[in-house]
Amino acid sequence: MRRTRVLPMLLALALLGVASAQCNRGPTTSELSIRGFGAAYFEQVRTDSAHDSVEFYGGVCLAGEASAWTMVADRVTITGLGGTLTVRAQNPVLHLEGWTMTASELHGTQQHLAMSAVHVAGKALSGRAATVAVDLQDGSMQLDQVMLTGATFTVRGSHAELRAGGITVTGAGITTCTCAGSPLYEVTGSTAQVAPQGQSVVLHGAELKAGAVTIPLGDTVTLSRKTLEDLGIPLKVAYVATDTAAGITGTGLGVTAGPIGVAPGVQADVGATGLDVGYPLEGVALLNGRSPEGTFTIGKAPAGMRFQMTSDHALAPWLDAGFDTRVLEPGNRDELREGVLHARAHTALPAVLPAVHGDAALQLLAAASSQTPSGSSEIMGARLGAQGTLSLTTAAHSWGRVGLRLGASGSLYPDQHATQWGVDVEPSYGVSLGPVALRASYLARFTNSGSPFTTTLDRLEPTQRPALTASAQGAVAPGWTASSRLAVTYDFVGSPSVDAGLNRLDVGATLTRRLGAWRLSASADAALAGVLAPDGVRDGYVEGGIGAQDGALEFGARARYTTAPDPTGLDLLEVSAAVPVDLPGVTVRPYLALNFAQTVSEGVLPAISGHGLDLTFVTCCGALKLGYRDQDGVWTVTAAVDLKQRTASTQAGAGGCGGQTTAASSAAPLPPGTCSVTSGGTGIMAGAAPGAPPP
Amino acid sequence: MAAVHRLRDVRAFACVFVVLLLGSAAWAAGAPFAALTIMPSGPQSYDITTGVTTLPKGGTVIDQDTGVTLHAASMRYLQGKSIDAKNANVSGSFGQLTASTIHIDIPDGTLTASGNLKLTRGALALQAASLRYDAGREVVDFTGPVTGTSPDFQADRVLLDARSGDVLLVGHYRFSEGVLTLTSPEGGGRLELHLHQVDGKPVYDAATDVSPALLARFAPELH
Repeated sequence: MRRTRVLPMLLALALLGVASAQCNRGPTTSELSIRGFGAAYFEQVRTDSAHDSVEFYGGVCLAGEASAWTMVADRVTITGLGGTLTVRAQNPVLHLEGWTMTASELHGTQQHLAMSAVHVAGKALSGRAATVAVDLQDGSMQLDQVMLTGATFTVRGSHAELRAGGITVTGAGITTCTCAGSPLYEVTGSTAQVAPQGQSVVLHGAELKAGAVTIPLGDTVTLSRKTLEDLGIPLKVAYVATDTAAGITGTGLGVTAGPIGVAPGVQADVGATGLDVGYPLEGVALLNGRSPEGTFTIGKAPAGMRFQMTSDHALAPWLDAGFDTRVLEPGNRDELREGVLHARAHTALPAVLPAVHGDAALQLLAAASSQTPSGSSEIMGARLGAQGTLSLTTAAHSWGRVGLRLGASGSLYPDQHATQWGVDVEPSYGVSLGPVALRASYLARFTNSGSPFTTTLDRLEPTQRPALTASAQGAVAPGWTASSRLAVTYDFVGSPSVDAGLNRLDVGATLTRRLGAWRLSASADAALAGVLAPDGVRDGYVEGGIGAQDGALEFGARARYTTAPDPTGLDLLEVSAAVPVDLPGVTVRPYLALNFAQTVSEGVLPAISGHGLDLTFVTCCGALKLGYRDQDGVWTVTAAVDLKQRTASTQAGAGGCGGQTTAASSAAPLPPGTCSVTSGGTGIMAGAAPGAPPP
Repeated sequence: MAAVHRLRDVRAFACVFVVLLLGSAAWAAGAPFAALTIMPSGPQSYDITTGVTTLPKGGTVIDQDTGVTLHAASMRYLQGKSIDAKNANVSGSFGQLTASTIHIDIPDGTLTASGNLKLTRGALALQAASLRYDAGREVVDFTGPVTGTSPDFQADRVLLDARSGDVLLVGHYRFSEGVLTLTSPEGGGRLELHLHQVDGKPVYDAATDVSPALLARFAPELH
């Protein structure tokens, strides 16, 4: 009988769309206002003067007076009518600030409400908490032993505070795993800020825990679907070949892991270079530190020993001062040891002309430097310098934006009895016309090039260099998109390494077509500076390619004709393919690219121009994708977690509603324990057993 | 001397009137308002054609069976049929009642009242537009608007169990007690006010879930 009364009451409330702080009345609903507490809507009421109490039953809805909360319950008893009110409710469903709390019992006062063994449901997160304490004055909620699950994460913590602006979790643990029992991995943190929609989590003092392994991740780590899809795992693979013309000492194939958090504010990079034949095997171990007062780097880098320390202090809002120390041991391009004291003043200029913005800066430095350029003798001495810059920029107009940068610098080298001065003038113009973006600039640098050090430190070289870049991108027909690019640089003066003349002329275009699940593309690129002005330094080639991709299935073909710096003719005639193969528990996708250029010209076997391997493991934590690719000597390593692919949840009945819960999609109260779930591709937990208290 | 004779006549007539009443009581022994004792406060006249006795200075009527006592400023009495009184005070098991007009239907055993109607009964004090008292069942039916000053309530209609003191608010109502203010459903409802003692003081407890016993007491009024 009571059920027949409760359900119509709740259904009426739900259908009428009860706002979070309102209980709508049905034709048989009585109302009782409780001064200083709120209003009660119910089917039946009974006062008890002997016990100074009032009892509501038969479907009760309480609406708070102090803040936007409502509570639906089977039975509510309020005592202390003559003094301090206390409330006790059976099977309450509390709605507050977009959250719905369901428990077997609630008790509280005019200021606080408390529940235990609570099922919690929000707009994007749901789960359970051992206890919930609600401050009715400000609407905040304190949860202990909490676990909340959303479309992306499961968040647990020893304590959590829920507010409209988000969730703060203490003693937090984040995972994407939906497996029964302990998750395969968890990212823990001293505190975690969970966005209101649960789409991202910012962890402080983060550590990755997988089994018995704990890896510090850093002071602040942001987890989201986007960051998981591009984990940027701390692993770098590089191949550095010796280039005597460019003064580069090769280190061969190197693999470095890092940055790895080793202490608050300190990260490490460790690895080795020279893993291939022909280069000496060298270790890499670098420590990097960062604090509000400065940064430091110390250790063995791929290029050699390195020590750098920077300290900056804000003496005033417009004035910074500090010192830099750098020690780059042999193996780096220019061996360098120096200490620098510097002060920098900067300010935004008052508006002299309407819609013109300006900044000015002045830097003074005093340094003791020792540089040993590759293949040269040591240069050592003091440096005293001053540098000023002035930047003026108009606001963006439909006709574009005009800018002007002026710079002036002067340096004294007492030990070498030398001076250097330099003046920069660089006007620029940029405009965006629909899909077309255009930028033109002219850099004029006047200098006496008087520094005894090299250009990697502070030597200036005269320049007269106009530059133009242009790009366009957009749809050219239904299903067709195209992009094109142009970059031109001309050097009127030249430098010791590059002659004057056309410095760069690159053009390119790409055409893309969607055809069902397939993405077809064709591209053409050309570097024409080396063709039009061959000097043995500038590149000159024409390259074209086509490609087709359907998910993990990938085919491609490229051809390149090179004229400069070495006139090799057809040096690339490549066919490539990546084909996924499903194996038990893993999807393997090998990639291979073969260059038939020499096969065509010399009749030899094709050369391998690229190779790679991707492995995809679908787990209850998401699809873990690991892979590498070496294309033309450029190595890339990828790692990602795709949450769209997760094995089925095994946590049914664990007290959470994954994905969207209708209980939380509006403020309308639903019967206790009701928890409907949309189990789409991202739903990771089944609903709670209706009517059953969470475990 | 003439006055002495007139007083003697009145007393003689009153004695006859009481005897007549006693005769009526014998005729309808056991029925409410059947054993009435009427004591005029002044002269009275008897209309032989209608049988109506008029007491222009009022008087006191006491029902020997129910204990209902009526004091009125003026009164008309039709033997065995009815009593009509103006500006009356009535006391009985239902409490103390004042009203502008009182009508007692002797055969029906009912008392109706209206006009400046006020009733007090222990912890209960109210005003209503009219009431009907069923003396045989000891049930008072107040029609509204009915306003209670103790306890604080308003109702379209109020039923009072004169035996227990329990009250039933019917229709649209509002009931206040301390920090509580109870309002009926939009379509109206019923609220039981149960009279009992707490620490020796009479108090009313409210309940929308009306007890079956009280519903049975008021069954004729509610159907």
